[in-house]
Amino acid sequence: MIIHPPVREAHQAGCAAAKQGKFVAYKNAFWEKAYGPYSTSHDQSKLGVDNIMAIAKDIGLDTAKLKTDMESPECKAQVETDMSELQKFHVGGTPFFFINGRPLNGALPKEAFKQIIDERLKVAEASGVPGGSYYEKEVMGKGEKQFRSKMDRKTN
Amino acid sequence: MKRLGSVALISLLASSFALVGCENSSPLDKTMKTPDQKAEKAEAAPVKADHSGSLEERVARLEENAAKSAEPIEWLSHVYEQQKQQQKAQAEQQERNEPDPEAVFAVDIAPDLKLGQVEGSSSALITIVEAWDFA
Repeated sequence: MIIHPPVREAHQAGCAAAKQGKFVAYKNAFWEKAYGPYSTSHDQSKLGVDNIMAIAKDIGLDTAKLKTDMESPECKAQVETDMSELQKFHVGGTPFFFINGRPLNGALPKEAFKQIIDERLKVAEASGVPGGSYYEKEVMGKGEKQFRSKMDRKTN
Repeated sequence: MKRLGSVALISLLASSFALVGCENSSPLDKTMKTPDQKAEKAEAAPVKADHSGSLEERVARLEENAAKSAEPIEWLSHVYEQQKQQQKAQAEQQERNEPDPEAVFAVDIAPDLKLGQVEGSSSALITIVEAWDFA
C-alpha cells in the first residue's frame, strides 16, 4: 500500500528505531531532517537510506543494529501488517486518524480534533472503564470489525 | 518517549493515495453560453413569427415545428437523464467509500504497542491512531 516506494525504508527504520526505544525521536527527526528538505527540494535522496542513517546517528541510535533491523523480516512484516489493517478500514489517503475508533479523514483544523476528542472522552469517562483497558475493551471489543460506510448506515 | 498527558498516540502508516481535486478551467468555458445567457439573447432578438394564413394553417405550422423539435428534445432529455443518473451514482459511490462518521472502528494496534510505536500514557482514556506516510 505504500505508494511512494522511496519511503518504505523510512517506515521500516521506524520499526527498527522502536526496537531501540526511540521511535518517537526517529519519527520527529525524520519529518524535520528528511521530509522537510525533500518537500522543498523534491530531492528523493533526502528520504533515502544514507539520510536515514545520518538522522539515526544524530538521535543516538545504534546505526548498525538499525540497518540490520530495518531489513529484517520482522520490520518488513510490521509495515505490511499496518497497511493491511488500515486497508481493512478503507484508509486510502493520509493523514487519517481514528480517535478511540472514530474516523477522522484529513488534516483538519484543531477544533475538529478537539470536538471528537471531547466527545469520545465523555463517552470513555461515562463507561467507568479504566484508561489502561479502555481501548481493548470498548473499542476493540465493541467496535466495528470491518469498514462501514455512510451508505451502510443509511441502509441499515 | 514523549508523554502527552491523557492522550496516547499510536502510529500506523498508510499510502498517500492522491485524492486530489481538480479545478481546471476549460477553453470551452469562454465559448459556451449558460441557459441564462441564451435566454437573454433570445429576448434581445425577438423571433419573427409567421402570423399569416388561417387558424388551421397556423396550427399546422406549429405542429410541424413541434415535430421537428421532438427528436432533439427527446435526445436532450435522454442526455439530461443520463447525467442525473451519473451524478447520483457518483454521490452514492462517494458515500460507499467514506466511512460512517458515527462508527467506531476496531483498529488493531496490538502489534504497534508491542513494538513500541506509541507515545503517551498507557493509561490514557483516549487513543489516537495516526495513519500517515513519510512522503
